[in-house]
Amino acid sequence: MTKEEMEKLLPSNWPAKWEEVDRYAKDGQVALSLAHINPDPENEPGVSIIKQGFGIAVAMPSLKPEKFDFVGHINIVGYSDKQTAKQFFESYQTIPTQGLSAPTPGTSMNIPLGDLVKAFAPQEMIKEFESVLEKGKKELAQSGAKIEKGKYLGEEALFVIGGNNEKVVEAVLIDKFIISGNLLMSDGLDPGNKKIHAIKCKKRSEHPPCSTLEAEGFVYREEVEEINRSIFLKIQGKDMPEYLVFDGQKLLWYRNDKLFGSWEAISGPYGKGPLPPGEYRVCNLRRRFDNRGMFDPDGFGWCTDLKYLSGKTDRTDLEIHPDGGIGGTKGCVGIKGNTRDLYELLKAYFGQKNEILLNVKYSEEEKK
Amino acid sequence: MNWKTMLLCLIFASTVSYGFEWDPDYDTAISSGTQADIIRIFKFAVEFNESNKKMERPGAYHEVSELLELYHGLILMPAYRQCVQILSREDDENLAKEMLKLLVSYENSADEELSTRFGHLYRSNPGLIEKCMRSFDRRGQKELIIHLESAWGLDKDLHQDEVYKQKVQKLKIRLKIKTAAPIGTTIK
Repeated sequence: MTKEEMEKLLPSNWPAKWEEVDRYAKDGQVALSLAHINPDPENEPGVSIIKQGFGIAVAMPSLKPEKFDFVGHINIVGYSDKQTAKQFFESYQTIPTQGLSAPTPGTSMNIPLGDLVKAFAPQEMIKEFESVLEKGKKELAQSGAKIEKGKYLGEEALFVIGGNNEKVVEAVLIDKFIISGNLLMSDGLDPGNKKIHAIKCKKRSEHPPCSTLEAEGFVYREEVEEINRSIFLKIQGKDMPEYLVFDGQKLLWYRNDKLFGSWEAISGPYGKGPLPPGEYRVCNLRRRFDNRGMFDPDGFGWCTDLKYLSGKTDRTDLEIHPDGGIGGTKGCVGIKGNTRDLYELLKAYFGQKNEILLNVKYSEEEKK
Repeated sequence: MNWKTMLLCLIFASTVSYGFEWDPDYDTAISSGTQADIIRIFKFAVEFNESNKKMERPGAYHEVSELLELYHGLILMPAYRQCVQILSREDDENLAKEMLKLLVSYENSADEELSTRFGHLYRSNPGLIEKCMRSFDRRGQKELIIHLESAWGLDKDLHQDEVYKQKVQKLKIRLKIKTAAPIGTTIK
């Protein structure tokens, strides 16, 4: 796997409260650090990034107000084929428990690791290697920790189970890739509905927690799982479930079947009326400077083409554009209010892909 | 030349256009075109659009509608803008009639600019537009009134212009045209 192929395994967009702070790619490996933006930097402890490089941003707790409150890492290693990846994946379990008796990963023959080391490595190195593995084996046994196979987000995974039965994902195997890093340890995070006081709450002692982790913008389990899922889907080549829906009142953007953004919008009533229901291909995003009907209140003009896919319509020149002028269109989807955020999202999307699907479906009430 | 031959010419032209960034000089070239050039472009656009409406095979329909929209943006609209400018200062009936034919055919287009520029032209030269509209059948006259009413609903300047509203209303009465304009856009 070349460096370029490895880089393509990572999504280009992250959720709004996350920032990519480090990335490193080389042939066969890509590593990434994602930092979560601290929603309350003045009062909540944050982390300062003290070192960056090779995709691993090192963060330390800080007493000063900090932009970030969490840094997570993901490391993906690519192998030549599925079988080799599986052998290395299993070695995560066998080497710590079996030491040099474990099978050597990366070979089609069942050679114990010790035999291979003895055949090729100098005597000094063999001794050092044996002592390190023996020490690790003993420490693992003393801690009561075990390494077990299981499933994480539906994928084959190895878990380290601590003495207190705490389960932490060590690695995930997908096709010919092994994924590891602390971002996989989402099970250790609190869920988004955990009750906390709102950041703006001034009377914390007078009533029970009045908000949730998710509502206040703190790190929570489901959001990290969503990031991991998007990486897994990208590795599997299934990162397409991104589409738009127009319901007569709003343009909705879905990513991995979850609502990602929405904008007030209108179609019709002029000309031949609203956009016919069905599926459309959205493409050809461009700025517009020549038509005030396509300017938003900030004077920002743009449009995309809409190509009808559900059979035939005689409607032509259908587009998505800001709803300039008085309000309403001749069948285009007119986006109300300021539109720069939508334009920027579309621009980032079209930097990676040529088109996005739009599904137009009106409720019974809208049809009337 | 039939529309299929023209389409072939256009396919050639479009393959050239696809490979290039938009050249602002092209717009200038169209803008400096003569009335005859503009009429030629309008006639072709009408023939092309009517052929697209009749297209039965879905595959062919997609190919043709894509070319039609390409033609619309790159060739037709610069010519249309130029036409509106000319007719705002000159009573060229021949050109005006071709423009109105285009608007009648383009009732299926979602391009708001067609209606709003027509509205502005009617505001500046109502006599010419009414005279030419009278040569159209009732269906054509109705489509043109819908364009004028849409322009009132879509364009800020026209929407605030009471005189424009009254002019369109009186025109409807004179032509005995009734339209089912969208709610809130009927000019009373």
